[in-house]
Amino acid sequence: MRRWMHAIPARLKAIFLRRRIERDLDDELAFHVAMQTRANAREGMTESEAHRRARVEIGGVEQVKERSRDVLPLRWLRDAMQDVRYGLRGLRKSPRFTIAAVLTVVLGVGANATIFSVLNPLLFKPLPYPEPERIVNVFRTSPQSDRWPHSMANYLDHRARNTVFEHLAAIDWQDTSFAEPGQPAERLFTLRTTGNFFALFGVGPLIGRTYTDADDQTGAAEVVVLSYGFWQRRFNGDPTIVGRSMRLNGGNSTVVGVMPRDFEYPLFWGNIDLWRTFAASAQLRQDRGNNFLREFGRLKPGVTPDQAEAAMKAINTQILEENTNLDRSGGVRIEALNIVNPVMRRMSAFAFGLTFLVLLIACVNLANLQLARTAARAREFAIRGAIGGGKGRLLRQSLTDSLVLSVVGGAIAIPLSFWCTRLIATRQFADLTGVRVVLEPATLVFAFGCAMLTGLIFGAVPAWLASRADINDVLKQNPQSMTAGPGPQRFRRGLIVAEIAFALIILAGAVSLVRGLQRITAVDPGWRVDGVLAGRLNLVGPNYIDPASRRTFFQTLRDRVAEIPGVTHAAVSSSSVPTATFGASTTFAVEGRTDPVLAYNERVTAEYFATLQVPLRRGRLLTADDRVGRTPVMVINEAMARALWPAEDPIGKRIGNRGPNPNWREVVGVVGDITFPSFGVSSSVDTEFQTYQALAQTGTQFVNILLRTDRQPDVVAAELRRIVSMLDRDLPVYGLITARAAEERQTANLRLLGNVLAGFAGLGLLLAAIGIFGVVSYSTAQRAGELGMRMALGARQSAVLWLVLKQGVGLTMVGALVGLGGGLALGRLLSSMMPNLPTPEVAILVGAFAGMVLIALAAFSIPAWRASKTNPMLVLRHE
Amino acid sequence: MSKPPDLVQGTLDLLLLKILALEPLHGWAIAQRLKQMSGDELQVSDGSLYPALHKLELAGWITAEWKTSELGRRAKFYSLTRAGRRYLDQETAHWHRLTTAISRVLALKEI
Repeated sequence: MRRWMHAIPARLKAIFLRRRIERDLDDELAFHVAMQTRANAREGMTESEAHRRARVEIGGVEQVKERSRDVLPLRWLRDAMQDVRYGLRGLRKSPRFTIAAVLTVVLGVGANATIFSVLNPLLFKPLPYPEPERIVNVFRTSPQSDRWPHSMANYLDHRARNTVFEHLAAIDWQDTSFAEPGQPAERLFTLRTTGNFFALFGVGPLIGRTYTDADDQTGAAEVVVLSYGFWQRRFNGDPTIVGRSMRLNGGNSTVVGVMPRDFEYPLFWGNIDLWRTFAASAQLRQDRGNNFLREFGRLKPGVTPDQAEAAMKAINTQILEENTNLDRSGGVRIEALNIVNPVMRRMSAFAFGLTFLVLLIACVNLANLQLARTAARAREFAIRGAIGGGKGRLLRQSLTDSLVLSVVGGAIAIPLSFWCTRLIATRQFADLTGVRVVLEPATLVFAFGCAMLTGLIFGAVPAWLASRADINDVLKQNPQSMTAGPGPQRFRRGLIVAEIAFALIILAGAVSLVRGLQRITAVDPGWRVDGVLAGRLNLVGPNYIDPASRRTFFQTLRDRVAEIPGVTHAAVSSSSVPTATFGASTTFAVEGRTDPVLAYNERVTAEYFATLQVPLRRGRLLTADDRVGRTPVMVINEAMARALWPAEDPIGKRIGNRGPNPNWREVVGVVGDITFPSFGVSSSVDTEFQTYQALAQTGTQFVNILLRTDRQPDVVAAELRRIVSMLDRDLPVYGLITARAAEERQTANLRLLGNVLAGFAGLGLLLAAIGIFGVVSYSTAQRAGELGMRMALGARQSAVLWLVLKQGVGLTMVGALVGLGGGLALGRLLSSMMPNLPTPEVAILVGAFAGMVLIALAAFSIPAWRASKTNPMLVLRHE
Repeated sequence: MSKPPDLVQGTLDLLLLKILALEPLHGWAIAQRLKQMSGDELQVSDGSLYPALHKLELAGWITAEWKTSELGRRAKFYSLTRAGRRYLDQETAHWHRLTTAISRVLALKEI
């Protein structure tokens, strides 16, 4: 131990103070020689003889110094540093190679790691619950959709009769009004669940307890569990929160626990402030007509989703037999719980596949560049080998060269990807609080490792082979025409072809996807999005129990809002702006038909159509006269009219509830279809039927106020808030958003994916261009002697240009044709993966092909052009 | 890394440590002392001396210090560290055991 401490200064000095060590060594030996000279002189030698003898006796000053250096630690490190210096000098001397190789590492590694880091949380993060693979969705299906919700009565039957689930829970997103005495009301994002919800997801509370089935009884005391975020934000993480009473929707609820932060998973659940039980009323428990519940099941160990689906189908059949008034076409379906919808997931997986292809191009680039460089340096290696450079030492030198390259590239790529990831995280994922987009170090290491390995394999192995070559063979060859034998030459051409082909495949794939996404997002929504502002109100509490008081409230609200200066139209509706979907759907009975019809069920005031500018096709729109006491009326969309009454006039037909009391509503008008942008990529078939009833004849608890204005939305929004607070101090207006923003939020993921894909295409192209340019310009530089000779002998510039270019044209065409084939195959794969995606256009492939050929040819012709410009005299003199 | 040719491996180290155990010395003086003490029986070239000293220094058995010498010139004086002294004792004992054993073997009479 102590010995070590004594050794430390000497060792540190040996490592860090090399100049000092050398000086000490000089001084020490000089002192020795001086002493010995004096001793020799005392024995009678002449001054010069004494000095000479002293130097001989020590055995040669330089030799002693070298042997002393051998004793010093970390000889290998000093050698390595020498190699690094040599490597850097080599890179400086061939800037074109260096720039091409470093850019390849930067783009291939840095950009790839960034893109992967962005996709990673969407693709590969497992759900933050134990054994997530056992958690499934249970959907209701119909001919129109395979993702419908269930009614409470059906859910209770499912739960009581199934033997496949450990837990079967139901949930619904319902917002809650939180009003403390003397404070403005707050709207809380609430998930209402059955009592077994927490047991199903298998996560315990941070403090307090979670609720159980015992808390979820009709008439039980209301309990709530808070989310970590809400607890921190609203109560400053008060540790004594458990047991506190909260005034929710005008009643008292008790806080029993707080969930840990990781339990929140906004990507899937949205933002959640608190969880509440349903404590369903006896009436709700009997209700089979109101379908609003999402079911989640945790499979019993060993039960497969297929077995569970078969079991649930059997139960569903029983229920249908017992309840003859239910829709006979309804089924059930089980789907593994995924955060992202399956189509998005597949597209992300596809994009992820492209990252590999880009990485592959990067590696091919490096391989090719290294091969070209090593071939050019074969002479150097052979000579170094011949004059005694150890093979190990030479191998180490070329390994170091490759490493230096990778490190230089990495030094640029790593900070760059950190920065880009942060940028994307803040720009694109700012809304998704739970998604932490951070650079994945593992990704970076992986991509970097691939690049490095490629560099090493293709740099060091040929170098080693070169060092073993017979020096005579090598030296006999013309040093400047020394590219390589026909074998390696063919290999390198193969690599260029592969590079062009890969790049074209990426380009074709990415471009067709991006075009497809564009067509999905650019679909005509059927209403005018710009200029519409939307906000929500939740009419709960004692003031709004009576439906008549609600109707009065929203009529007053609408009239007051319409008076805001600059507001041209204002309407109240049961769902917000139709950017994603309508809020509710109902299975209707149609007079004269036996089969029930599933349709969106929107309740609106008369001005709705004018506000959104939905065109009237037949009959009339709703009016202020359609109110309680008048004939119940309904407006339907074109698709529904066409499907139900293809040859008849839909006006005057009647649609009503199923069951003994149909409560018929007369169709008075047909309006244009509203299209949701997600239709194209959704894996499920949604209904295209849309119905509108007069809000005055139906009512709703959740009220959305929609208005069209030509003024600044925030000015109007402030006015709107003021009006609502004048009408009811305790009523919060929330979710104020322009329709445009709502739409953009809806398509944000698609647009992000589009950007990522476009980025890939660009990256692949750029890499391929860099690779071609680097290799061709490097090998053309090596041919300078030959080309100069040709020109000296009278070859014209154009002939030289063509000589170099000829090869490029051939390689480009072969590569591009292979790539075209690959692109076609990829297109087929894409359309089989995503049947709803618009099929790729031939024009896109042709365009990609032409683009690729142009870029490749440009990469070939720049070095060719430069070669043709060389002065033959200069080149020949150099030789 | 070459070893002193005429000495059993490690023996030079032992001699150097022993010499420095008596007093701190600079390289030239160590060489002179070596010649005197071994009565010219042991041939150690001056060239082998310095790498050996540097190795001991790096191992932590001895330390070095620049001091003014009798010539008025700066010289590098080596001295034994405490660890070096322990090592010397240990190696001396080891050496005795080894030589005794070898002597005993060599003393066996041939039959």
